[in-house]
Amino acid sequence: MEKNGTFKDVLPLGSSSSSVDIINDNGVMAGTYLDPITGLNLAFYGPPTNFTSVNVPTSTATLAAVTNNAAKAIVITWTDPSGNEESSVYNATNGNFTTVNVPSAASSFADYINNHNQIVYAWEDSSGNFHGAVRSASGQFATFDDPDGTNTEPSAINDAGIIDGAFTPTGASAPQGFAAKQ
Amino acid sequence: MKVKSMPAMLIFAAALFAAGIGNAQSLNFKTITVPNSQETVLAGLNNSNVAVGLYLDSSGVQHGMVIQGQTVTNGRHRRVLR
Repeated sequence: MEKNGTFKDVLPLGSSSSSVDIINDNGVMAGTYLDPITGLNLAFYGPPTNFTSVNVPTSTATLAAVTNNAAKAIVITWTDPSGNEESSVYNATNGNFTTVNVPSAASSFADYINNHNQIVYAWEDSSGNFHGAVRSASGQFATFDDPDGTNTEPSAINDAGIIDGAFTPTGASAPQGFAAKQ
Repeated sequence: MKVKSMPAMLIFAAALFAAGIGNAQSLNFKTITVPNSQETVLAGLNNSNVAVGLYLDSSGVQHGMVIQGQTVTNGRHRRVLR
């Protein structure tokens, strides 16, 4: 949406369907699009004038892609051939993929990467319950749960380390928001 | 202590901490609930501690929202949270 309030479609690389998951401070976007050639949902990133397609090699579908201001790390959530969600980082400098799943998780959904290269996740355990996790820039994971409920599902982490998201309070069925900080 | 009011979030947000996340056990949580809503979900947060998300009002109508300062804004009105 421009300053005057108009909307523009973002349809990368000849696609007819897409989702933009993030735009950084420099106007670089990341998200997913339906590839008209393969019929698969793939990741894209870049400025609107020069989108680049990215596909995790063993992915059957890409669910989301985000990046930060440096736009060197493209964090992708994708579905593997077994139907589980995994997360990978695409290194835009050398083209390498690194799997960054939460240890012991049945599914890992990387939701956001901040400018310190901290990645925040919602992850699902083998019982189908959701939790939160943060991966540091050096690759260390810390998991967390809102102590007043279940199904903690973070959405974002900013550069100050504040995490927000949603959880289900104990005794309730509807989610509420949370903000968390060390 | 958890609180369910936006001013508490603001106090929380204003008291920014310099250190990054490192120890899950030391996280402090604040519940964020839009008053009179059925549910509240925070979906994004920028470096100015402005959060975006959605809530379902008492009639079940979904609203997008921005949490900034002591207000929640949506497409129809702006209201002060208490």
